[in-house]
Amino acid sequence: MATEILSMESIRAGYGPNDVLHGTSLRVDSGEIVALLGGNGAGKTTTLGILAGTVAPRTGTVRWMGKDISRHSIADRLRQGLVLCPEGRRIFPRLSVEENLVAGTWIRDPKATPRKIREAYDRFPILGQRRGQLGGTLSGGEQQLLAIARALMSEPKLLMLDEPSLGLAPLVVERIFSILVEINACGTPVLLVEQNANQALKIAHRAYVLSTGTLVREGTGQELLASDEIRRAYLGGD
Amino acid sequence: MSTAATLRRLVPLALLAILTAPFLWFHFDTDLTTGTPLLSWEPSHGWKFLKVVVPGFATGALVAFLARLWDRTPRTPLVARASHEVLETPWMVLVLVATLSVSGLFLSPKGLSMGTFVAIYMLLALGLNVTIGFTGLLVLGYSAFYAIGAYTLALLSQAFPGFPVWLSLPAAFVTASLAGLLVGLPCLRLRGDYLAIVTLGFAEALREILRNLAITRGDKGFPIASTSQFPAIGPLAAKQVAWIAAIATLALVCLAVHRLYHSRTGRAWIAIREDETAAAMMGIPVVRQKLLAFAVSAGVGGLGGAIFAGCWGFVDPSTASFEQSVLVLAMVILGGIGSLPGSLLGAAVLYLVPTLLRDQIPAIADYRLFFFGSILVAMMLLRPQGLLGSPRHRLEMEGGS
Ligand SMILES: Nc1ncnc2c1ncn2[C@@H]1O[C@H](COP(=O)(O)OP(=O)(O)OP(=O)(O)O)[C@@H](O)[C@H]1O
Ligand SMILES: [Mg+2]
Repeated sequence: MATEILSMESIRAGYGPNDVLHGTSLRVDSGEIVALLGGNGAGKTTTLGILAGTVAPRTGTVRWMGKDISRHSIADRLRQGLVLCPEGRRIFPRLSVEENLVAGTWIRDPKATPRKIREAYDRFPILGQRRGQLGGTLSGGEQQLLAIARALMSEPKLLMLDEPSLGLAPLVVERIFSILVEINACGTPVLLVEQNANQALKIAHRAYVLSTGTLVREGTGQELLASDEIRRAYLGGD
Repeated sequence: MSTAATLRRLVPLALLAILTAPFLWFHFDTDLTTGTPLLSWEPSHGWKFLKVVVPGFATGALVAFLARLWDRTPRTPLVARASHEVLETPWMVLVLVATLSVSGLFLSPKGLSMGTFVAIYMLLALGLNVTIGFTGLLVLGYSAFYAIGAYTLALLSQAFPGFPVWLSLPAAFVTASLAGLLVGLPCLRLRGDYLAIVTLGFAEALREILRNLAITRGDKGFPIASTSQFPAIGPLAAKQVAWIAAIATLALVCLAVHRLYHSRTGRAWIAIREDETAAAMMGIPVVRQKLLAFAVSAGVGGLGGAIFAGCWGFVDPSTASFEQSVLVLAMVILGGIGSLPGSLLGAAVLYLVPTLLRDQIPAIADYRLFFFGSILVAMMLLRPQGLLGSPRHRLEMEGGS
């Protein structure tokens, strides 16, 4: 029995004079993995920005557990458990792995930090081995793991990720996606923005397809994987 | 950040310098007999300034460039561990302060006052390091807060005859922090090096105000009643009391700054320095934290100014001079941006070397700016992390990521 956790309704948003989103609505229910697909410049990052509070909507509302949070600050949303793992990872290159993790706990009780760091190292042993290494010297895959681990330090009740597979080798992508499935299996809904539609649809319960700021398709992962139209447009399909 | 990127960042500042340079030739003054403000064109004024500053920077660049050509050995890759910072413990600071404190009592009066000045400059370098080093905010007019501290003591001593210096010190901290908040509020909401330009303008404006207001007694300066200076206590002469007060304040500020740096607040500052956008995404209130850092920094500057006023017994508008700001900036850069012991060392070297050489080579006083300019440029190119720089800055400068 799924209840709605997060939704946005008729969101119009953009930068300067131009609208990027033209009245977009979507929702994430409890326990779900939802994929948000679309080409470059479709407005995926903007959508996540609206949800996380880094971009202000022009009209429309963002609801979190039924409450209107459109005007809440980033910090307020984080405190409520709405956590974004941003595009391009954005780890702190000159902070150590451990300091990067600690940065994710700013809005949480510092007393819990040591325990959470231990948990992070249990989940990602490679980060434990490199705890003193500077973030910028990690490999791309390790950096993405660090970005996810740092997001988990904020104790998400819903985790949003912006293109976590960007620039990673297929094997590493698989690892990242299996981690997302694992996180989801523990009860955290996931909203996943991806270019790598094929992989994303395989793990997603539901998916949206965004095209120049308008949702053009919505369906279960299976439906979209099977759709010829989607295959042609977004999966580079044969 | 590569050298090229560093240079690119300097382009707007260079443009600003070119635009503001003509003002060096203006001389703003008050006719002391009639009180009318006078604005005049002073041919020698600007040339004197440029004659010293421009060759200074040029020579520094040249020396650094030549040395770069020489040094073709590949740089050793950084052992990428931040553990180096274990060295930056209160112990090191305490040892330094204790040594200075005891040895100072055996010094001649002249040595003692030199020592007090070293402590004051260490305080200033520490304070400036909080914004430049920890939070990554460039401040070019730091002397404004030094002057505000000094004049706070002076004005208090005038308004309340016999106002004790011990109360002026915290008052100076407060007024300078408040001034920092006022100046920082409009520009810290923005990204980029606005603070550098705004503080530079603020210091210049403040100096003109100090020169022209009746209450600050203009260019003649402001002698401070001896009852509001550091007093003699028991067997200790006033100079010795000033020395110990300076050292004690320095120790206190050292520890406070060290504590802050390693606290949650300090971590927020570092995160902001490293990536402001990412820091905001972690929920760190970026504007508030930048303001806090700047207010602390300004307050420490004010404290330095009040100690100066309380021991020197005289303040004048040159406390807010650009040269003063550059001097402290050079101290921070020489010692190592972001490094606490580095600031202390930089301050000691850059105060003592010119002062000690002044007697031997009188010309050095004229070429002070030349000397600082050369050091700044040479350090930027040769050892950007400074003498005792923290490994993080080293990594940045060598393009490690
Ligand atoms: N800060 C900004 N200022 C101005 N325009 C922006 C800004 N951020 C995004 N845009 C514009 O908004 C549109 C949507 O950008 P957005 O980043 O949301 O796309 P995206 O779907 O995430 O694309 P990609 O897959 O390439 O990351 C683009 O045309 C982009 O140029
Ligand atoms: Mg994007």
